[in-house]
Amino acid sequence: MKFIRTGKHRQDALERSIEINSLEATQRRMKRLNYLLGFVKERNPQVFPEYVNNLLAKYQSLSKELVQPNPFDLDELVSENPNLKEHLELARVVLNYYLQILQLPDAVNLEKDKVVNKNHLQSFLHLAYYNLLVLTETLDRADAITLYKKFVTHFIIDRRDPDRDTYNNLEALFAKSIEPKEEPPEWVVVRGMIGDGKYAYRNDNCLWIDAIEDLPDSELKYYVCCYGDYEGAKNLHESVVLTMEHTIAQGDSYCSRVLHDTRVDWDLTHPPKDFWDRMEPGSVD
Amino acid sequence: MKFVKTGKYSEDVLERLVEIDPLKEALNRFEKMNYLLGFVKERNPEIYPEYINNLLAKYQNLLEDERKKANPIDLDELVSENPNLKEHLELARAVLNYFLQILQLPAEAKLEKIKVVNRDYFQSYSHISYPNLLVLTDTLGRAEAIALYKKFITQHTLENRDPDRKTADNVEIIFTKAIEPKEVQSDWEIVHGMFGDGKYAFRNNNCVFLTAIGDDLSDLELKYYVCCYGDYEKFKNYHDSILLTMEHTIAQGDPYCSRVLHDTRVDWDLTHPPKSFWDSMEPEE
Repeated sequence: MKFIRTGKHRQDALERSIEINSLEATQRRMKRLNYLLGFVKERNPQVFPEYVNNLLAKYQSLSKELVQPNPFDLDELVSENPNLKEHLELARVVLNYYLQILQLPDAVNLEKDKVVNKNHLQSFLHLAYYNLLVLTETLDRADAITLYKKFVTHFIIDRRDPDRDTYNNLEALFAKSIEPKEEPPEWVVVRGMIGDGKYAYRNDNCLWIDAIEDLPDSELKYYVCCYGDYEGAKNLHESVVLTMEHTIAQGDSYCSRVLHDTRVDWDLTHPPKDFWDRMEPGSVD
Repeated sequence: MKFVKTGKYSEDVLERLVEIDPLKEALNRFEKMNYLLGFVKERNPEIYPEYINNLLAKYQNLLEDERKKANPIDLDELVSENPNLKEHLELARAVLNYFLQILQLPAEAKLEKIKVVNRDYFQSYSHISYPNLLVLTDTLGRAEAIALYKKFITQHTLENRDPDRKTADNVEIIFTKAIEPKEVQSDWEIVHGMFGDGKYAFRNNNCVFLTAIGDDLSDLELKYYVCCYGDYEKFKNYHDSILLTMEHTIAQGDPYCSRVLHDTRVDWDLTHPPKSFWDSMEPEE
């Protein structure tokens, strides 16, 4: 079995400047928060008002501004997000916090902007983390996590395009992922096909986790950063199942993942730690 | 956690007479075998002629002398929509003769509704699937044959799945339906329980199918692939988000089958409970 490493660690990965379409990015964040609010309102209506209040208080406490300014794009951003429109003060505070993380002025139209990569990553990870953290403070922690897991999976299912391109086999995905790129990605990953229909990969770094080093709760970070990948893997094909054991988010030195094509094999056994420890490029298992 | 037991094994279950439509049953076996032949032809064309020859020899060998040259009346109808069997008419004839032999039906009578012994009815499935796999292992080598057979089983289920089927909104519904009192008690003794949100565990204490096979078929691993493996994909008929995990199986010599239906919309943790859980899974008196 042959393993291949892709990607290259860059010292300046988090500090470099990147261009983003900040309006589109903001729309995505608002849409996700709107979906979460709707999900909590539908499944736990008795805690919903308290959750909204607690979110408002949390984002106010995170904000550097005492008086919340009125970002130009707020009306447009809430127009298709009824749960945020209904709670406009919350929407305003979240948007301001988002602009604060990105270090963008609050009184300009959002468009293409250059931002620091770390701020870009934090702009969605901080929102997701605090939304979950406040949920654990509103509901019992275990109940909040249970609800959040359902939300993450349902959000992906509801946005899935049934006519998307899927993979006939995982070898095609593996071959594509090891193709030489013009610029090597910053995610360092060791990959290999470990059997028919079994594509294993070990993430040796995670820029997301590096970017949110300041957030303390490892378990919540796992649900924010990693858990959605289970359902996300099904975007590759309905018959693909991801298994994942070690995660950088939870303090492991790498993330261990296997994509299983159940059209080929329903045995979902995840290789043990010593397999992942020995998974080096060029090595033969 | 509350466990509920359903079903009661009756000693006479295998000797009981059951009414079947043998033409419909034969069509079912032929459709599956035709699919298997097409699958092997497409994926391993180099061994296909040898596989056909070996199958023919195997079924000839299994036939009682007086049935070896019998010409069943319904053969033409049975192969008409099964091109791979039509192409190998001698094999189709031998398989049909063997099917009739298992059911103890006359060799050259028109197939119509009739009462047969339940044991024979079960064997009319297993005693065709098993030799098909056994001969594949003899032809292709064991590991490769099993890998191919697993793909065949899953693919056959996938292709027969109705995309407009009625699916289950959650596994509680499946559990509730399974424990509803039935007019006629099932011969399958099963202990059922919900052991978490979206997790329905059931332990099969007996397997009528395997009892019917008895000691006839000796290879436990092949019995597992013939009797159990297809359930992984079949349980997805309930919903694309419902996954089966299975560890202990009566087919492989365990005293029970341990199974969990996981609703991944609720939780992607697919951990299968340990043996101690299954051993202590007793219904309330």
